[in-house]
Amino acid sequence: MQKKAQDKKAFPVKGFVTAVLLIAVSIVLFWFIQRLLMPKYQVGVVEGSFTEEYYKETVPHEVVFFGDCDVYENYSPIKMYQEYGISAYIRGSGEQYIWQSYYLLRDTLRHETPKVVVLTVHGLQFDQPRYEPYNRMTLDGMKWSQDKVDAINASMTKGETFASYVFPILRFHDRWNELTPTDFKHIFSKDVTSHNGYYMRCDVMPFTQYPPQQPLMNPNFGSNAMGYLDKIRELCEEKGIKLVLVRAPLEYGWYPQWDKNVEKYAAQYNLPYLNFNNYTKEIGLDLTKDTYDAGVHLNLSGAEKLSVYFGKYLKDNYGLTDFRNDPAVSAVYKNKIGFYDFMREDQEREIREYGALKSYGANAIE
Amino acid sequence: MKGLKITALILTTALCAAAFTACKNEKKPVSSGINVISSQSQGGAGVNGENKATIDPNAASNNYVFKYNGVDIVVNSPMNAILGSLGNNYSYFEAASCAGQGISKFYTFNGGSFVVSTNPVGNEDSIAMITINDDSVSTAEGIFIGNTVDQLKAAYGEPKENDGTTYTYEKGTSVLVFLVDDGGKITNIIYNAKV
Repeated sequence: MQKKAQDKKAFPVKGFVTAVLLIAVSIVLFWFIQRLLMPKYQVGVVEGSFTEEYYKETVPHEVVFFGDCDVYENYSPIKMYQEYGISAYIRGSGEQYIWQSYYLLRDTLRHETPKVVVLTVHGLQFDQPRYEPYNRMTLDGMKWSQDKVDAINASMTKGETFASYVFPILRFHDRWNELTPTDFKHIFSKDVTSHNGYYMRCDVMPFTQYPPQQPLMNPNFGSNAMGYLDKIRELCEEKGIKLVLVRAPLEYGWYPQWDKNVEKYAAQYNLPYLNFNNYTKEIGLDLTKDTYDAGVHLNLSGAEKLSVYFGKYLKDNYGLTDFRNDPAVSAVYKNKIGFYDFMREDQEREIREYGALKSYGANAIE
Repeated sequence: MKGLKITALILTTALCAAAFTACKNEKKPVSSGINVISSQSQGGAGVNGENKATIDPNAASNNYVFKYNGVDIVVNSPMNAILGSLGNNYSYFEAASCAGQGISKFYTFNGGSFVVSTNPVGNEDSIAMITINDDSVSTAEGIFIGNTVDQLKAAYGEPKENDGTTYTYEKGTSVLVFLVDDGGKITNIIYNAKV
């Protein structure tokens, strides 16, 4: 009789524990499946990893770049460190729209306050978001904050939902039939694919000639894009950060009318604007050797030349610290340089052996 | 208690089911099979930087047509199907997309008279834009660079949009744009894909 009473008392506790366990298991299962189905961006299209790689950084950065491939394919922060001791990071991503640059800047300021922000003006040509895949690559890796919420709201294209950013499984659930070994290997952890945000390419495809430029119908940048440029400038002013506007030394995809607009803006607010197309001789650029895609982006050789040139400008003008003299920071950079050299040698080996990259870029897509 | 257990079971089942159920009206997932076009836009017609394309099965019959060597070149249709018929008098340039698979391709004919650009759509290269740059070629309706607005209207009628320097016509999934200088003469002609 007494045992029966005890059983009756114990049953609700046991049942409650079972139910809680079931709920916990379902949440873990949900989380696991979501992690499994999300793209890992570890081989081939690695650019989708760049946003989140920043959070793994353990050293301070006095220079932070923002923008699209105009920055993350054309400047090598590691080279800047080697030459001048500059600690720089590129918070770049594929087709990063300027409002995303703004929110990534705000996100960065949550972690550190650089002395210099370098912003490419290349993204000013886009006044509205164009492609959802680029949104995912830039935004999915952002840590949750009000800035990520605002970045999503500013970026969503037609048909996108905010819920799919909160629960990416809503977006990626039908990847189940195209999972690769990489998806399983990197469910819980991802490798670093960039070099302080720089996307390395060592191959060479000489520039010969661009096709005739398509007519430019509207020489003015859109008000939305310009509004976010204002916000970036004002935020930098508020935080005492020097803002430098740049354009990589590649004429492809850029118009003289746009350049005049930027020059006018820079003059109005007393900002430096460096269009490196005007300095190719000083940089020592040779587009028969320094580009991997016929003049659309620089390869490592070109990026290092540009970084040496621009690094000197930064060093001369902004009183940057020589972190080579900082034991803690230089120890971290020693590892970074090791990874940088390893990837360079590995790419050069593949080019020698196969005539092209096999484990990097489009050829590596699974 | 029984209710809580049932709820937990339903929740578990629903989450697993949702994870593997394909939904309708979703875009193709971002994955190793990501298919995006070049972010290195060259500006161009319509909105700055806008240069999308699709494959429209009715493009040949519904869209504006540009004729060259007796071949119809139509936006939102596959380039590969006609490239061999266009002759060899062209130069080729390609721009790989940032962070994606696929290549935007540019075919420059007759030393620059006109340019056909394509964007990847699945396994096809779809014609996204045709840009006429000089008066050695004309539209199928006979309009060429240097013609006047009056001649343009005589051939095409009133445009859908007209801001004084840009005359825009639409047909099917094609947009035909004429840029006009201060003297009322056509300076550029662009066939653009409408997605």
